[in-house]
Amino acid sequence: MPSPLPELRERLLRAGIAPRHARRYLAELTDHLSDLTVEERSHGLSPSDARTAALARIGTTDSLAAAMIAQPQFQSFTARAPWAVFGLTPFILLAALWFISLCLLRLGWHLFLPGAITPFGSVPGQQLLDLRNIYFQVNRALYLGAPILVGWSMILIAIRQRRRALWPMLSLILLTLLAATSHVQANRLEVPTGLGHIRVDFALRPAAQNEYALAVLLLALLPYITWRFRSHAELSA
Amino acid sequence: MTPRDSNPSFMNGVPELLILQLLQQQEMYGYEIVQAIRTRTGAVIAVGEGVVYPVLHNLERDGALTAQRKPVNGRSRIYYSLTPAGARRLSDLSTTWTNLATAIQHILTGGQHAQPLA
Repeated sequence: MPSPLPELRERLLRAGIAPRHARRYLAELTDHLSDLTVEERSHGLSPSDARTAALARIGTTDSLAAAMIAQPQFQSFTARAPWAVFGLTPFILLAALWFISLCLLRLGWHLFLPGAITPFGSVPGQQLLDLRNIYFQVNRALYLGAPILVGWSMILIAIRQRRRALWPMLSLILLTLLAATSHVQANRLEVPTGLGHIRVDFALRPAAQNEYALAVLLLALLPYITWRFRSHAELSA
Repeated sequence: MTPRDSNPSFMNGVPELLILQLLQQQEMYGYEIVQAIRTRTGAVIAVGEGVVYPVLHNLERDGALTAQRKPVNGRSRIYYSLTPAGARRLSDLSTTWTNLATAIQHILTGGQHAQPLA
């Protein structure tokens, strides 16, 4: 008789049980199964018969799953409010990462380019490995990579909790739209009395930005596609 | 081998009562609890043994039990023990079940409730 635990895990996660609750349930069931096997062995059964008897005593996959699924308080927040996790969280995370990136841009502008009208553009005599160049390029990578990082986190949640593809796709579409339309502007002249002005506006952009948005979508989607292929291959095997 | 028969109505509040009663006496882990239920009820109450855990987790979540992982004979076990809130819950459940059992017993033995005065 095969162990019901791997299938049970999948059923619990697909039913929306939070991974930590499913993990603890399975851990305790594993211990219980082990105790039952030892008990049945002490009654003189062979190892395989003892295992079969223990599996029969612990309950069927259906009954074990139903007992947990009947407790709605063990459902994850993602299962109860997927619209919040996959619809709102990407906005919040992306806004936070972009805010950090723009703060770093502002800091770099103040430290490395005091008096420059804009932090964008090349500095005369600047080397590739110049500290200033490295600083701004790393910050640029953070800004451009932020939608991908957020997309990966949404994919990770979807995979971990076995959510339907619809939800992470919603996140990725939102992130792609933001990536396709966002544009950072920094100019000291816009606010004459200020230290410099940085703003992000959103509008349809030329083709280059669309290529970036497409790259965001594909890179963010890559782990999910890989996982789906692996799951399919495991099921087929 | 087929799974042993279980009593479907077992899950309607009875396991909670039995678990709280057992844990009032001493802390136990899941396997011990199930074996104690089997032994003390003469196996009259039978259940797929694994389904006791969602009940335990639910009681813990409600604050009726606390869970603590302890090493025993080289293995790690999660021991459950009763909290003061759990003791109050046990008292309420016991009263409810005692009244219910008395009422059922009364009917089974052919007794009647007192008639209101006309």
